[in-house]
Amino acid sequence: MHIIAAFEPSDDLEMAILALERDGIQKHQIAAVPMESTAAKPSLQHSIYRGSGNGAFDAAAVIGTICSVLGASFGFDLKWGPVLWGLIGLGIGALIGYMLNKLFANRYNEATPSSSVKASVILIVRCQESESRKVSGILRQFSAISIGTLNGREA
Amino acid sequence: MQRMTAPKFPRRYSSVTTGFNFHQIWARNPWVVAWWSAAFPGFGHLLLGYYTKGFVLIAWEFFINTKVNLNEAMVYSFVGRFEAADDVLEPRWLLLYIPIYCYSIWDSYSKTIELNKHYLLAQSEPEPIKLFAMNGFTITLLDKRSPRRALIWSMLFPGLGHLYLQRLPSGAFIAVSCIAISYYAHLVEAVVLIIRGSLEQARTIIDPEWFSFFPSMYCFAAYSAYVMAVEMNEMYEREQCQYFRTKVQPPDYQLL
Repeated sequence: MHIIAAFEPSDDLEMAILALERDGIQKHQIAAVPMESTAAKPSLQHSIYRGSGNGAFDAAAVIGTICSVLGASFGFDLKWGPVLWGLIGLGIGALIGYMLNKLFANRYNEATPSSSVKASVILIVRCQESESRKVSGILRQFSAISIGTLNGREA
Repeated sequence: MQRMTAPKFPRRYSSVTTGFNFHQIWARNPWVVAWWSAAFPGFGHLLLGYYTKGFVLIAWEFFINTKVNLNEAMVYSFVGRFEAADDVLEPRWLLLYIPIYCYSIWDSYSKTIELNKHYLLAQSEPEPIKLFAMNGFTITLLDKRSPRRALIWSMLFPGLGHLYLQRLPSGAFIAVSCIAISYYAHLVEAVVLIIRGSLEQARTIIDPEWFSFFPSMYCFAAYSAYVMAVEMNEMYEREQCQYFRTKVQPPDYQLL
């Protein structure tokens, strides 16, 4: 039979494979399949001239910095002083940048992949029925996201 | 040097792991990089990974800005006291500022586009990614790092986020710069005064020339720590997936 588990790419996953091998599962009984996201990739032109990063965070940082510098400068003439006004400026600017990006970027940016989609790896382990509890126990221990079984008939 | 040991010398690659630094390029928005150069000459280059150029430009900016009193003049101009701004500017140094300022913006913009193309080409083929490096002094391990934790450390003190991400050169440089700025700007004293509630005293003790370096330095350190953590995780996942595809997929594996 087969035990099939989904993992996030991590050191835990490699530790799980090591633990399985220590408990007598042979190398040729284990296969790892990295899953590729089906979300549309941004065009090459877009990647070259706009980057592939997080636009909302970029906008928040840029506008936040501008407002922080302005806040600190004006702060020298205000009661609360430059330190507090610099921080206030940073907070307000970051919020403005984030909202501007959310308002205006979506229109021409709809094809970018959703960041909530995590890359994952499917691990398939072939084992005897008697070993299945032990195997799924190890996978669970090394933080598998989900585990399933496949009962193939022995020929 | 690590690349020489690879079976075939790769034409393009996008990361290098040494004991002192994990160095990486990724596709960046050239306007954002140009903006960082405009906020503080040298930041754009630091973000791209041109550390030597970035350090020289930042050191130059500290030198020329304090000679010209540009930050002080900027503070005066923003609040509309133009005569005061005119008075503090030092004409003997002033014009030397401009060409290098413009160059750093233009150079980081055009280099971003170059590097973006290189990165996309490097990504299209299986490139060598070195997971681990160790020497007599230190260790670097390409590992998952939390972007939020990098951001928080950096906001507690600039440079710590970089150190958390195993960027020793830029982390140390940013930390040392911020310590110098804090000292000359009397920032730490001001923070203590603010906590005690004497806002007026805090306001007068701060040196505008030196303090005005701080906001952009602070924001840049936090921004770059966050995006570097995100990209580092991406690189980690790519390396691991390459490993699984080549080493953990037995050719004779039978599913049924």
